[in-house]
Amino acid sequence: MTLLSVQNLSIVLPVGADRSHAVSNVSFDVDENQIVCLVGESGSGKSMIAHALLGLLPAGIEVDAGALMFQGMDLARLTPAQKRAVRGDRISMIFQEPLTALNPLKRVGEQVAEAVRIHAGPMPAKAVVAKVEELFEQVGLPDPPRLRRAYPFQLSGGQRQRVMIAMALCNNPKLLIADEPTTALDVTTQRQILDLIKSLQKTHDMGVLFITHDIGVVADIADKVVVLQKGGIVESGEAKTVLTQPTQPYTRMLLDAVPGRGAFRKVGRSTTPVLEVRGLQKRFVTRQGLFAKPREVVAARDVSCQLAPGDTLAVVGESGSGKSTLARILLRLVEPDAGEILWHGASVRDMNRKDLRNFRRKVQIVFQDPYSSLDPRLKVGESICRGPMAFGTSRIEAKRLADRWLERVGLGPQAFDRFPHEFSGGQRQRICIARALALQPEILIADEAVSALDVSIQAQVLDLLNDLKVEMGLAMIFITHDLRVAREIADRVLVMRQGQIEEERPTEELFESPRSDYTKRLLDAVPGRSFFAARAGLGVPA
Amino acid sequence: MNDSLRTFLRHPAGTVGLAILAVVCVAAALAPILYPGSPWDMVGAPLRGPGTLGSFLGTDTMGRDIASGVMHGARVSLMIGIASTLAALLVGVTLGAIAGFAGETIDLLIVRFIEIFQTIPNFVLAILLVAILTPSIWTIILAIGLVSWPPLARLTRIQVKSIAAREFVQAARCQGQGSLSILLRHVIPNAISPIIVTGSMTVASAILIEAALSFMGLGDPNYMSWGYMIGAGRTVIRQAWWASVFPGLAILLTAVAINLIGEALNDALNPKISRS
Repeated sequence: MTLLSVQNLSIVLPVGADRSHAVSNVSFDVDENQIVCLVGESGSGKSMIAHALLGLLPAGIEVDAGALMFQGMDLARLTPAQKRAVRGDRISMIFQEPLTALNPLKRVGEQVAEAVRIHAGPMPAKAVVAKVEELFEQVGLPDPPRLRRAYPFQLSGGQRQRVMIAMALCNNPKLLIADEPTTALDVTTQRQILDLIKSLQKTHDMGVLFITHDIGVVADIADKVVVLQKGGIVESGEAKTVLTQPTQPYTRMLLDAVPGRGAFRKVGRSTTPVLEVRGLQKRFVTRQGLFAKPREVVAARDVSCQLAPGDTLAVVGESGSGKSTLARILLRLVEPDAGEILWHGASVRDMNRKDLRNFRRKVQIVFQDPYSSLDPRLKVGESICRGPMAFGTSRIEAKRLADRWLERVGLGPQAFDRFPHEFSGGQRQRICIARALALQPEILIADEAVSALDVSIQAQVLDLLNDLKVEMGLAMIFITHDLRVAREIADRVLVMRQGQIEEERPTEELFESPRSDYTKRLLDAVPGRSFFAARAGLGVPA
Repeated sequence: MNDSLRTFLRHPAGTVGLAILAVVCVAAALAPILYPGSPWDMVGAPLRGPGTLGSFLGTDTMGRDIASGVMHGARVSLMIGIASTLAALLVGVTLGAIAGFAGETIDLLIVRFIEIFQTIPNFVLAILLVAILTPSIWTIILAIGLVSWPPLARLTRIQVKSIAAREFVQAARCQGQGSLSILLRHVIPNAISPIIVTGSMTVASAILIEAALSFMGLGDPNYMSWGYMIGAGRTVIRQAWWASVFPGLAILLTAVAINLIGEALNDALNPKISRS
């Protein structure tokens, strides 16, 4: 039976936006007991649809045509009081960023209890607590009586998302809207949350509207799929049909953009390493107060590895495994406690200021967050110029260099005079790459450089990096939590866990016959793995 | 820069503030031409109301012209406000930036130093300094500057700290730029807008402190200032309201104008707003 029917929905944007409608003429149904995936890149209007369902559209943006029929009422035309009665009761929602979606100053149990009380009316305190603990049990949170009293910052990302799900489930909703609920999580946690949503959907007989940009996720959980592009439906239908026989080029493009399917990279013979790390140790100790016991986090425990010229080493691990710290230690942005870093045999840790500058020129980094890694007050061309100018290049020459690099990363010299906020995430990441490469480095460290990007943009940036790598003979250290990305770009993969190396092997070997259990678990967690394996097996051109 | 200027000029608060401040500046500039005599001279009978012959805004208890006093006072008030704020900014921003950007030990020392100043009530310290150093326009500027820098230093420190932790600063370090260059070219420009806004508020509060000092008889006896006029007129406020209301209005308008300009500057310096 149809639970939700979106009929010819149009959402109008304020004058001056990049298009007149966020979505136009969109129709699809969600049946009871069914998972429908809305797939599209950022800016396709998929989140707008979710927000319209709950009446959460920002000011100035509204539904101007169509109907959102849910259990005989049109959600687009409810009074505020009616909307509040529906929200969190019959329809509930989970968000992308579980940290910002929870109140940081309130215990998580109380936040869930609040959601219970609002819709169930007055209840004895004991009953509410029992209900909250039961919900925590259902979403697989360990030790509910203890966790109920925890604050959001004390939980991991996955646990926070479980709390959000518990909150969404507390009134047995008929429809659950999940807006990119796993995008901010790493691969293994994503797997757990996807499994959880799927099993809860079955036990609660819910309809689920799941929004994602990752078609791998769709392959894992969807019954039905709706592909959106620039506010219009490109293709929709049964997930199996759409994924195996896509009729539209855009859907095919999304499928092909999923990384980690092509042939493995050839492993070069070993030569003298450019960079060598021996026995690196790093512990972070944070004092929490005068008398409290200091908290200790091990970021590196006896880490050793080598990087040959022109080689790409992927460092893979979950968040908190110490992989980003490793990158920062290599550049001496963070000082290690012990160990050696050798660059062409010279110890980086013993370098004086001048040598360190020259070393950093040869080892450049691209950061994860394209929004915070560019100076917002500086024209992007200027950001690129500063590096070569710090090493004595003249202004005119530096500008020419910056223009050339902007051209090379596909933005064109007219980008020189614009500010970072005028670019999209993918474009900013290209600028960061241009900034790093303008110094002609030997080694490029990419710290989760594509993790914040949509899958299709990810593919473009990875291609660019691959091309540049061959062109310049760069050695690369590629830090990522996504094994698919590692497989796409790396010659060798190093798997890290809690500051320790689990295994380090050539990419093909690691993927074909992983040795450690941890690696196996990471591999199993890759979304859409079986689907893409089957797809490759059928001989669908990759 | 052009974009910033355009936003500033399009900002309603900015234009209003700028217009009021321009009027005050013009008054200060024209004072010696319109009222060539000393503002301390008697021009007529005491306590004549505004609009009476020869005195546009009336006269005070000693028969001095209020209009002349307000215009001459503008020079002193503006000069003290701006000069003492510049002094406070120089000390505050420098110390704050060093504290925020240098290592833990230096940070700790500077913060303790700031705290010493913060534990002493501002106005009491200013009175004390002026009283010890004998009142003159320079000691007043010095005293106001000395009591105004700690909040600026704290603000700068925390701004610099939060900006310095961002990735673009690490990226600049990896580009091989020197520490000083990173501080001056990347950190400070991103940290500066709340500092400028607070700085403009400091101008307003400096004018108020000067007025309060003069009100207590600790002003420079050679210069007529708004605060002195209010102080002198307060005893007769029920008989001659004009003696304190007009200089009071002048202080109010100038303080509001400067705050409005600060607000507009904040928007103008943000490329996200100025380029949209």
